[in-house]
Amino acid sequence: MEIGLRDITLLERERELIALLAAGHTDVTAAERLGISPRSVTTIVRSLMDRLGVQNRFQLGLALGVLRMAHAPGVPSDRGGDPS
Amino acid sequence: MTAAALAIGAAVPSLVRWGASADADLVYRTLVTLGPHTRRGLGTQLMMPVARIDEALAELRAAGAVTVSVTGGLPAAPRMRFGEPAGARRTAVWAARPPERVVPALRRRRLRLVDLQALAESHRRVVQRLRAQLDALALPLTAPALGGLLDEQVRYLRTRELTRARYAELLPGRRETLTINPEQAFDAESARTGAEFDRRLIAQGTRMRILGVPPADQDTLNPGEPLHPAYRLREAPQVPLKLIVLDRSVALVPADPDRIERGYVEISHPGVVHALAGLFEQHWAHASDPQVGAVTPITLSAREQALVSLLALGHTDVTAAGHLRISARSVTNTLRRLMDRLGVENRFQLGLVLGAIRAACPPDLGTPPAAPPSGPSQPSHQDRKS
Repeated sequence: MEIGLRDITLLERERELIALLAAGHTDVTAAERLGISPRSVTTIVRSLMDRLGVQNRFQLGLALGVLRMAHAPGVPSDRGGDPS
Repeated sequence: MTAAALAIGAAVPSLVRWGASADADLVYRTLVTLGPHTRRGLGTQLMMPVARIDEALAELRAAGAVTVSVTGGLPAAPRMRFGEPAGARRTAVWAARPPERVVPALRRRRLRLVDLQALAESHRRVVQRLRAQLDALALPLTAPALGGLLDEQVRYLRTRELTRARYAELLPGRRETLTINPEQAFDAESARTGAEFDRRLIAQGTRMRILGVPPADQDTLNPGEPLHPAYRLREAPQVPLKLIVLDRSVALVPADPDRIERGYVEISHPGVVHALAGLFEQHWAHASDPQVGAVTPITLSAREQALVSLLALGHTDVTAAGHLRISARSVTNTLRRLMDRLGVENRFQLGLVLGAIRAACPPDLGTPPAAPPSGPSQPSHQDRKS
């Protein structure tokens, strides 16, 4: 089976934001760290969710988590061994 | 376009398990994943102060995990360093040694055998210090052959058997034990009676803290059996002496650190016991939790799996609850417990962890292997690769 990987290249800003959110930051504290408004954080997350075709933060996390595994070179898939 | 590819590397085993600091581990992974970097480059990449990067690199270098090459004025990234004479623009570039070479080396370093002589000396230093402070530990430590009850606060237990019998007497009703184990392995008899004592302690709800040394021969990547929650374990490369403290009112230490068969000394002198408990706390505070960094397999219960699959499809707590015929409150509680277990604080983090272990997958990214591919659940803004 194939995981229909989207072309997910992240902008620098998105990468930074995701790293902060993954570390447990809230939108507000992440915004402070990045020197942007909480509203901008919401916008960035929203656009990322649109690109990945997901509707909420949980799904966004799932998608990013799955993609990380799927991209990992040389790591056999844990189910059935499909190199995507 | 200034898009940077999401940096994703091969799985790098955690170096923390072999005694590296968290910073060193992070820097090492970064070097493995992204290739050679300067210290400042690492600082930028990891959003960490360069001072911390320097410490991590020093640690990694001492462990032989990284190499550094100095180039005179890298054409790719010429950078003026303050404090250096003009013209001597030199850039140190750090590179990781491959994990398959680094990990065994760290493992050997960490799993060295405990130096029994050093342990005996450390034991004597502890006892001497106590004696100097308190003048309470009289004969038994130097002349264990005397035996018997020396005074009401220091009792000599001549043999290991006597010690075990006395230990069994002391256990009932205890609420807390503090143990330091310098042994890397236990003989069969100790293991058997130890397990029996532990069963009794667990049954009466005693909290046990055990400070030990890394085992000599165990696959440290595998955390093994989950521990009973009554235990808390920590490991340090060096421990000061063999010690058991019960309820901070009785302490047991070997009478002769060189000859365990000479039995134990039971101490109930409040000052001495207090000092020994303090010694335990001091070493405990600097020891590490062997479970941290070990790869604990994550398994989901049937209900958790069903719930996670529904949420992955985009269900809300309420609609998922309807599907599962449970209350929305049960959904929240189930997720809360799962998040606690995985050590995450919010739904985004929960998703990341579950995605990384492929517990579920959002529909638009593909479908779990067993199910037929489903169409996109909503219009997407980009083409699917499939």
